Amino acid sequence: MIRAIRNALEGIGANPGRGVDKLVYRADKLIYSARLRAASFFGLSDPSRLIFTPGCTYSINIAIRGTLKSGDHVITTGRMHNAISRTVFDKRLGLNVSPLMWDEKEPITEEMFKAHMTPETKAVIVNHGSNVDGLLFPIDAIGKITRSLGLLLIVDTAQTAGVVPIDMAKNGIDILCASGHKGLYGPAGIGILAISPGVDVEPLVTGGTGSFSEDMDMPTTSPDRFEPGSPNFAGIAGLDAGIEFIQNTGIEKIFRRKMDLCMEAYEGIVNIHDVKIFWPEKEANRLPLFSFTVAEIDPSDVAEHLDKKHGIATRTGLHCAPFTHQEIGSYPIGTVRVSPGFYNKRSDIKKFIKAVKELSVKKER
Amino acid sequence: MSDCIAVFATTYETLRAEDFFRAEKIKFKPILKPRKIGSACRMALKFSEKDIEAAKRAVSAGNLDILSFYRKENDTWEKILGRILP
Repeated sequence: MIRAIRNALEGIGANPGRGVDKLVYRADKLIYSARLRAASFFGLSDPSRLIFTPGCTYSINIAIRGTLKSGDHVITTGRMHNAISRTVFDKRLGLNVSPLMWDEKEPITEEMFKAHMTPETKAVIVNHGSNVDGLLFPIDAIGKITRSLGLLLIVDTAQTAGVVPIDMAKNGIDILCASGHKGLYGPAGIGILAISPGVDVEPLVTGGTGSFSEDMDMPTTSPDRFEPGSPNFAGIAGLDAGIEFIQNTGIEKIFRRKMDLCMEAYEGIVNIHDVKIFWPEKEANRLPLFSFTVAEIDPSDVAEHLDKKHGIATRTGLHCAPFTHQEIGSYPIGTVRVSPGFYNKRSDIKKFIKAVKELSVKKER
Repeated sequence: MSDCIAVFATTYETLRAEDFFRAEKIKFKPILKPRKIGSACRMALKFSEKDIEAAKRAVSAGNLDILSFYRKENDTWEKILGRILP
């Protein structure tokens, strides 16, 4: 990924879509290839509708603000990240919102959605995976339900893109929002907005596209309609290399490795006195990350101990997901989140377990 | 034989068109769209008039969003086929 970014900056360094000199042409080809690869990776039949954005939050904003209007009603989940909640609850947008609470031990059903529906219900907006406790929503079942009910399905895949297989056509996803720098192994500052054929989205940002320049309306053709200004082509190069890495390595192999490490971490601390773990009960609903607390020790102090004494990086607090913490019962203090990566080693996990044990002993003294 | 150019709706579509032109064995060159045709600062595909029928087949095969084909007449570009897709 780093090599791809360096090659883009050192070997090209031109502004794509403006002119046709050799460097611009190479930049254009780079973005074109990346678009084809990403579209194929997510099962999007028309790659022109695969839009590169500055990140998943931007993608979510375009998806929600570009399809819904004041008075519309939407159904979300209780596991919303603020990328969704701060957008759907934005008073300027004027949406009515019903979060659907789901007990993961039960199957998700059409009746659950029907119970929240009003004549103004237009969309279901789902965090595919929770960034707090790793709860994985059954997107295939939800896609079948939204198709049956004639609702738009917008999916935030920040925690799942590149982690579990996603196929927009098969899963019934109308709009997919993805982050480049997490499971897709790209750099920060690049994201994806993928719009299924037939779904109309209004652009949020206007500006120069290098096409139809005499027209003061944004082009109707994609991707230009959603990509004004100079694209982050180095970020796109890095993201493309990340997705290529996943394709070459195998998404299942990457998942298995991360999950094995996660299980080892879980089993290593689950029986420690005063450690409370937040992770779905059913294995099928789990992503390779979980949250935990140690008695009444402030999660920030836990994280500081892990970082300063053991060089272990975790994320603490509310994780920009206050609704999730309310639902799992860790609000307002929050938790410490652990998410092993593909390049972590078993020795890292052993170190983590030892570090948490130290905290428990300290607390007892 | 005159030169012709094909102008597509987006850079993405132009790059997609290259594959279909190659499949029709059309010799083409990506060029900057001539200023006399419009203001946009982007790419067009230049090819020989002898390949115009093959170019039309490529557009059809790829369902390409073409804005127009142009043929060079003296010093001007004459539009020979308008946008054929919505």
